[in-house]
Amino acid sequence: MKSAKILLVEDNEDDVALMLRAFKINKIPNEVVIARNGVEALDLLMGEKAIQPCLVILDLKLPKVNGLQVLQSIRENVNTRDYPIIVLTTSVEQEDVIKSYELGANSYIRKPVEFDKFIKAVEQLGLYWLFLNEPNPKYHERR
Amino acid sequence: MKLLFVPLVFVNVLGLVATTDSITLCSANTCTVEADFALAQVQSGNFISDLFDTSLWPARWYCGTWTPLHGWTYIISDIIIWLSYFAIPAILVFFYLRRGKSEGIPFHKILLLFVAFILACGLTHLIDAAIFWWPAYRLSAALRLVTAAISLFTVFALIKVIPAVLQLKSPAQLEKLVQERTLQLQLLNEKLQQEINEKKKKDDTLFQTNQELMAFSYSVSHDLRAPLRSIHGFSKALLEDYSDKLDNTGQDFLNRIARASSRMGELIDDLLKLSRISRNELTLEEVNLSMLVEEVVAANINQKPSIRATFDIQNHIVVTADKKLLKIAVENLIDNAIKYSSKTASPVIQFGKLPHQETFFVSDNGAGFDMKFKDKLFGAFQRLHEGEYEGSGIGLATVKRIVTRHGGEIWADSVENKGATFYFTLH
Repeated sequence: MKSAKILLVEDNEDDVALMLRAFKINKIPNEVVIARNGVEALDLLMGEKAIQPCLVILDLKLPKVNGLQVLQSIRENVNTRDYPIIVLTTSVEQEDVIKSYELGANSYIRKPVEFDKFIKAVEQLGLYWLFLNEPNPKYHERR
Repeated sequence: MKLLFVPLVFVNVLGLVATTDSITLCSANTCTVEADFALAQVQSGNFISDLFDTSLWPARWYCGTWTPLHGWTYIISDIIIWLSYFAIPAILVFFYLRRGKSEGIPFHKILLLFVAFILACGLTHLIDAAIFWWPAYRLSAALRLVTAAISLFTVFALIKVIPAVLQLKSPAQLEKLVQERTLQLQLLNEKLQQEINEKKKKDDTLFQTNQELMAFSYSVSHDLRAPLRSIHGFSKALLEDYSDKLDNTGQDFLNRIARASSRMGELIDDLLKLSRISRNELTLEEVNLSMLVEEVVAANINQKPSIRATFDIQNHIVVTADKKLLKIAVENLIDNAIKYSSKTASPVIQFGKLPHQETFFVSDNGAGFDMKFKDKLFGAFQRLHEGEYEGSGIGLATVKRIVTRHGGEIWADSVENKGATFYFTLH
């Protein structure tokens, strides 16, 4: 069974590697597409070869176009506005949390320092969004 | 005041002159009274009836030759003088009562002497007018004697008081003085305003620096977490994937790296919490502190049913504070009390308010601390029980910061192994 794609928007290579490792450990089968900055992410979602991910995992501190702007653009675009978006970031700045929810984030998760907790977080996240949560049938590519 | 006295003295002198004139006028006349009959009446022995005895003299109308014009001018003038001499002291007394009560009047005794002496002078004029029909010359003489005594006394009193009166400032002098003082005050005021401005400027700079420092510490601790996550994550990855290629020592080293980075993560989190307490605005409201403590205790027991402590919480303590921050402070204090009394046989934790004071306390009968370290208690990352009890050493620093932000103070009292009491105020 071909699983839907997950879009990971993350500029930190270490975090990408750790995230992929956490996916592997948690046996999450979905293909992970990686965008290293905001521009890349928007291109992947709205460009010529746009993908229809079942989940967008978005870091806030990004080069070029930051995470909040990416979030806003996704929500403003008719084609992408109902994608589930999880903000996964280091920041617990109240302003960031409030702003993210205002812009329509579905969830806000803080990256734990300890890898064990990080794995646990990714496990729960995958379990919830990829298995428990019923995806929008509008997007065929999802399942 | 000098100006007030001058006309009074003048009026007084006029009075005396008038009185003297009337004496001269009467004594110049020849009178037709039978002296023998009068002399028999002089010594009746009763002073009062003697005083009012008029038998020795005729009424003034019959003493000498008076034209009606002359006589009535005399009488009417005397009555007008008497009325005026009655009105002037009345006005003075009115002034004295009005002003004297609230502000005090300089030389008020002299003023009262003037009142007495003008009244007395007035009465002599009244008698003089009455004598035209009622020749009470004895009463007149007595009255004049009294008037003379009061006048003389006033003269001496006035002489005595003159040097002090000269010291009084004239309105012009006063005006000048007021102007000078006003100028001085203005200068002082300007200087003060300048100092306030400078201080405000300094405060602003300080506030800004503080804000920058907070932002800096926030972003530093924030940015530190990312590499830390890598250190922890990859040392775990090494342990998991390559443990067969590492001997025990190598694995131990990796474990140490992971543990240290995880600990550092906790420290950074605590720092972040601390900086957030300082950055956020206070939202003051009425908070039932007793209920807050009870909630925190209930949450603790709920989370850790193994807690054996007995809680004694005083009811109905209400304060004005930022509820969120106050809760964090209470959580830290209660956590500490639970933690440090956990090894005691029967832990008792109390919360209450000192009688007649806005001082609150949380006490336990646990490990306590050595009072010589009491200054280190509230510093960030200062720990008095390293290793024995868990914790990062940020709890009391957090409490102190919260209390300080409320304009309060915190201090502690303890006997080692007997327990500790933390006192705090909020305003």
